[in-house]
Amino acid sequence: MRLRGCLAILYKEIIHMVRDPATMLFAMLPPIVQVIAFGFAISTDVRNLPTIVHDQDVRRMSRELIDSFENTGVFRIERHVHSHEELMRLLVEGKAAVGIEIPPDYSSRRQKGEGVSIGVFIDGSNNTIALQAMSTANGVGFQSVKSQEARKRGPGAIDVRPRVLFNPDLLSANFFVPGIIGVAIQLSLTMLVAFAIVREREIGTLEQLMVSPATRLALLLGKVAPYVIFAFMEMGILMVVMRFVFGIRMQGDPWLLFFLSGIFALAVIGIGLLISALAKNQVQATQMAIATLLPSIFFSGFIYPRETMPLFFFTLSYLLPLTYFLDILRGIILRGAELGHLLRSVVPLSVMAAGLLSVSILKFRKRLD
Amino acid sequence: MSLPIVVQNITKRFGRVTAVDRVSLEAREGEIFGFLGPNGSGKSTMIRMLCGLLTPTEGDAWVLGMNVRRDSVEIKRHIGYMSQQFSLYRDLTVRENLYFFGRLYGLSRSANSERRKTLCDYLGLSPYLDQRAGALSGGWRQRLALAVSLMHEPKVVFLDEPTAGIDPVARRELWDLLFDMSARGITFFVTTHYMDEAERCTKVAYIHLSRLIACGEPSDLKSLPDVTPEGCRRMEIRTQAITRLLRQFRGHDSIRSATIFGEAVHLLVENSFDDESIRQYAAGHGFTWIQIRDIPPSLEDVFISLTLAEERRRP
Repeated sequence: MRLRGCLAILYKEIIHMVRDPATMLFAMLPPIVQVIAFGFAISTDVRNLPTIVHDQDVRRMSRELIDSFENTGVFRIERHVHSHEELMRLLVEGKAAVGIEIPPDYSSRRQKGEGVSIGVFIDGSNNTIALQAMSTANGVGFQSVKSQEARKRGPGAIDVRPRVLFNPDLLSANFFVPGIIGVAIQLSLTMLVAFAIVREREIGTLEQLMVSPATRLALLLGKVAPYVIFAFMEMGILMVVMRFVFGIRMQGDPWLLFFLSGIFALAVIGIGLLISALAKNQVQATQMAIATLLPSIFFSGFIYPRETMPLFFFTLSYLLPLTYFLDILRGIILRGAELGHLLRSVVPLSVMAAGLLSVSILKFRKRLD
Repeated sequence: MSLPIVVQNITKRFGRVTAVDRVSLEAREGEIFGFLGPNGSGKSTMIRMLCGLLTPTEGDAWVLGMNVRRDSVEIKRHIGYMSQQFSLYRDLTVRENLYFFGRLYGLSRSANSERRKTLCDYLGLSPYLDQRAGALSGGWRQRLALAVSLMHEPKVVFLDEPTAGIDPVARRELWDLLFDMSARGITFFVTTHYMDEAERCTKVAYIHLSRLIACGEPSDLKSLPDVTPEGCRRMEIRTQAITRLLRQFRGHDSIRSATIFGEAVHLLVENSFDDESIRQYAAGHGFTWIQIRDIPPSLEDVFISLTLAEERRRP
């Protein structure tokens, strides 16, 4: 392989970048904006649900129960109502998301140690909100019974204390932000690489390069190298944003993450090259880049857990490099996983990177005939 | 040394379309070989095969003694190529474009700047060295493209419509440069639409519907029997109302073809219809004065007659 041709291309690409800082800036900025916007906007944390109470008991114990609902932070008691009908009407009107109904004999039955049921009506039109309200309400009921039991019988009762590891506050930002980093890198890198080559084909310079004695491999290498560097810079910036905007601490080895990001970058560059071999102009290239990005966003487990997908999409998710990279990102950033733990993702990702790159190089070679 | 370009029975098919059909030709060292034909006739495909960008479907070709199938990488080192559209980097300066392509062909840093100096002095590009290529006018862009294709001192240079869209002065100057360089032993293979450029080539080939229908020196082509059939002669007539004359003469049995050229009508006339009969015929139709002059065929006449003859021959 003649490295000289490769260095010449690299020299030229760097001039392009320096002459056109706007393009680089616009490639670099959106991912950062995305991470910040998505990190704040996509949140499945449910807080301050407007709640109304129909308390028919109105004694100390029922007030304690209402307090413990409010203390979870999930429910915000807006007002008290005086009939079941009024409670239901407010729920239908959307004035409240949750309605709590305490029966008149609540305190007396609790004191006798009898079971008692409390009505909790939840607006189910948003299932994420409803699910979380439901599990929180169950928790409240469970806790108040447990404290009463403990007082009565003393130690010895079964005490279940779930503890969530790695994301103790169950913040959705901790889950989303590492994922968005993967999505953002895939988006900017596919487009940049595809554009870099399609543009040369459009203005005719690609043909001028083809009649030179530089080999195709040297040409591609020279064209792609700057974008690998770009990917690492982007990665670094996003890590800083993650740490200082979202306060997410990296648990694992950052160098391992950078190394594995390089493999992901190669796979994505392979996709970009493949697009550039198929697309006739920049518009087509954009459409293809988006077409490859959408399944990555929906089926990689970036937003929706892969485990709940129908079999077809679950299988599809195995074909997406992002699926593996997300596992790596979350593993290293949140759980502090090491290389040995991540092999189930690193191996398929490497295979895909190698496959995509070789196919795209072969495709590129055949182009003129 | 063998001939710089030898093409034997070359064919290129794209699927079911035949772009180049059994073409053979040869170019000698220092020749300016004009390759003519209408759009889509296969000119660019031919050049791309000779540059090693496309593999011929059948037949063979040699450039500088190297086979286009086997030695395409080696051929690329020794040829220059200037494509139809301006295909240099507009955001790079003249100097950077030259440097980049020099490096791509493996020129060392010092060889690069030495060669750049020689070429820029020769082509007059020196004052523009630090201008962006995109800011140059059409004629200067072509010069830069030519300079780029000459950086690595190629022995054969392929120019695909080098003068398309540039002004006549720049066109004339570019051709003067080509002649000067061909005198130094560089062989040029040039495609063009312009007949006046074709007249200046040392050898021309005409391709029509993928087939070569004429190849030779312009003067030889003009004396081909198909161009001026036996018993015919070419003449030019001037008169006061040439369009009416044209209509009148096209209806006459002894006139094979009649075309307007500026202020005159060019005719291909059977010898039996002599000058005196022509004058009488014209006077009989109300033309008060006419001038008659025998003329040699132009290259355009040559290509038109050969195309018509070829179409008559094909099924």
